[in-house]
Amino acid sequence: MVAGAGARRAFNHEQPERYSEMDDQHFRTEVREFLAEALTPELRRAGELMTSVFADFEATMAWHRILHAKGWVAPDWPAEYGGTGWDLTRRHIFQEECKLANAPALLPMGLQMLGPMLIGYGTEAQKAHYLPRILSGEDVWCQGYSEPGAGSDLASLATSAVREGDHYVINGSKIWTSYAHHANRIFCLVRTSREGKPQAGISFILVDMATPGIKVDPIVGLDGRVEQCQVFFDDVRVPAENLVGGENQGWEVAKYLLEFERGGHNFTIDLKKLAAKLHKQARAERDASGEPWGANPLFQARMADVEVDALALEYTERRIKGALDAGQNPGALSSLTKIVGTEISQRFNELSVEVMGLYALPYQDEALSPAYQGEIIGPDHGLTTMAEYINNRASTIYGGTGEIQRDIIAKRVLEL
Amino acid sequence: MHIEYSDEQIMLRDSADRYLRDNYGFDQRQAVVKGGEGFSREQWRMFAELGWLAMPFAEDYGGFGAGAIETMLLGEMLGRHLVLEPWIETVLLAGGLIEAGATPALKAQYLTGIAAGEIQGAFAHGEPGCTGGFAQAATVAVPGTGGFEISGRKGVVLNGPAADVLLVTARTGGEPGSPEGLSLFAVPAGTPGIRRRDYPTYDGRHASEITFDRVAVPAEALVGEAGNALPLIDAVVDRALLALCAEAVGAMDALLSATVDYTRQRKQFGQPIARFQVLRHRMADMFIQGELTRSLLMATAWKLDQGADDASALVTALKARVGRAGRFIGQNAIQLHGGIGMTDELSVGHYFKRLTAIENLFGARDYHLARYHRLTHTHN
Repeated sequence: MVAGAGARRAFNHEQPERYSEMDDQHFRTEVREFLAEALTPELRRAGELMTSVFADFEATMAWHRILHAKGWVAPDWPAEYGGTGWDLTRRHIFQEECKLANAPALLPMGLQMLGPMLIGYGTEAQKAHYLPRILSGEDVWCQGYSEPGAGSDLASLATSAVREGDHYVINGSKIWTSYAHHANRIFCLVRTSREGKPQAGISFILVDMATPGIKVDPIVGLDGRVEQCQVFFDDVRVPAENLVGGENQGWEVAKYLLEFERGGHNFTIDLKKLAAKLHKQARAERDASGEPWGANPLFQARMADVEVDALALEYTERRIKGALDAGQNPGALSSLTKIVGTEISQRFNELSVEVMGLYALPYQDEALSPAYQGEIIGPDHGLTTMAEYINNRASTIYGGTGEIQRDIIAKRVLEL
Repeated sequence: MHIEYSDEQIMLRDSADRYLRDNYGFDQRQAVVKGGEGFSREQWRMFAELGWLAMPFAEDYGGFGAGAIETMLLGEMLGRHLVLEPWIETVLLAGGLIEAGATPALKAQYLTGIAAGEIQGAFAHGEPGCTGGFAQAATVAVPGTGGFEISGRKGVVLNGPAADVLLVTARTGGEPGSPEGLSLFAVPAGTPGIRRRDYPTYDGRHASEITFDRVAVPAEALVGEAGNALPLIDAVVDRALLALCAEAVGAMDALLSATVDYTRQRKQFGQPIARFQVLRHRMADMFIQGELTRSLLMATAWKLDQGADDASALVTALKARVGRAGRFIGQNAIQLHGGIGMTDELSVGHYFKRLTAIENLFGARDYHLARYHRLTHTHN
């Protein structure tokens, strides 16, 4: 293994003494009071109107700045770099309360991806320069990983970075780059060597989107909106000091994130929100007999079926957290949460579409903007239903398809 | 079961396939979606010339008296090519309802026009309070000078924006929920008292919210028997459902072909992804779902043409089956295409959206499962 500039910082969240339940309750109250004051109606509306993992961009950045002012924008980071010093329980409480209050989701690219990777592999100069700008929201990052020819097989990526003096010259193209059209910076996995295994020739580099030679093409999604982009690199010259980790150490840098993320993402709260919304819809909408869907035995059975699976996932996530709290590796359990969480959420979406009936069909893009004051077609609780259903089909594709994830279980857990 | 299609039926299907393949490309279709009306008047004129708009009507009205098999054959081609034009709404629903129960004068007024491509129609049945179940209608038709006055609100009226005539369910008696008292009226779209809000739908079509404020219609506007419109509506909607399900089968077929082709050329991990067993089995399952549904479709069309007693049960079984198969095939077509399956640019996602919309038209899967049980288990 090539030792790189900035050897890998071992990651362990500070584990202060476990707070008592009473202290956790006080913390929860403190968070709720903060949210009640800081979340404006328009920000809440932006959170309510989310039809994908992203909220309205302006609302997202406004919320980012508010949290930054409070010092709460990066709870997962070590305190010395701007984190909050909360243990896992408090970080979960905070996440839960934000979601329950419909806070718009923050962009993950800087806060949850690059930030931790810089903390693990960045030089002091890189950390000093970039981390504060991620925290303040001054830098908006996008992620340049996938390519038209490298999706599930990311290691086969071909965007090249050739060393010329004290620059790398980058040529190629990245795709499914979320928000590249809003970002001022991009972090990329690039090929710096063709020798040996594909993973061993990949480097991790930071690029300013204003660098000459970069072109961004927005990609219109099935919901008619732009979230994804394709980014083209044509002889883009990037300072060599923008490499994170050593040359050809990029794959390791990217994988570090998996270790950092462990136990972080909680599907349970998202699923509870989906279930609560669906129950609300089922109380209000009527089936063909004129009765509320919630009273329909077929609906009740289908709903219970999904809720039971969601309950099983909730307890699985608690097992994972329990292991982490005890300083143990949750191992195999973590491999199933993404598969199960995304598939359950898709089942909730399907039920929602059925319950909304004809009122799932109207396409009203303007009404999905938090500033919209006009009349909505159909009930407000049905406004996001079809867009959520459509967009959430992607959740079993990005971040490792459900098929690939099962392959990973077969190989790594079952050792097949 | 082997259906021996007549020469005319084979010609209808093949010529439709050929015409649409050569004149209804995906890019063209997308340009129309983004255009003003959401369908092409030019294409509609061609459809008239091709006889598609006249097909199901009796010869008295310029039609060919075509039955369920022809509807199935044409419907499948419309689905395969993602056709936007409101053939089902105007010809099968509005036209079908008028033909089934309107006065001779009204039939003469509308059917020839529909067949010739000059008149558009829409069926306004769903309401903001409840969009499923025709008997739930709360819109009322009270006696008025020379006829009736209709008041109420209709929601998600497909083809509402373009319709020249609206087929409107309204109560002349009874309470919402009761089949007795439900009536049907043919209302010209320009009648005073009608207010519309038009909008696009997720599957590339257009619909309207329509308010009726004491809209005066003559007595002759009544379609079918006063207070007893449900049997007439059910029979016509059965045919429309057949067409919708045929569209769905065409779409599912197109998705399977597209997915097989894509997985053959897409390479990851050094080989076409079609070599991975999980994906091969998934496509095999898509094939199975598609063919099972097609079998039921053929049987349903046959039974409808025979006037069989169990035809309605089959229609409802078919709609339930299409709900499940359409979902499975649509979702997996996207899944197997990966990221590009989620883009506006590829047709895959548009087939998926159309299948999703079809599922919610005239009852989703659970509604039809319950209806199937009711229709097949009359003695408990």
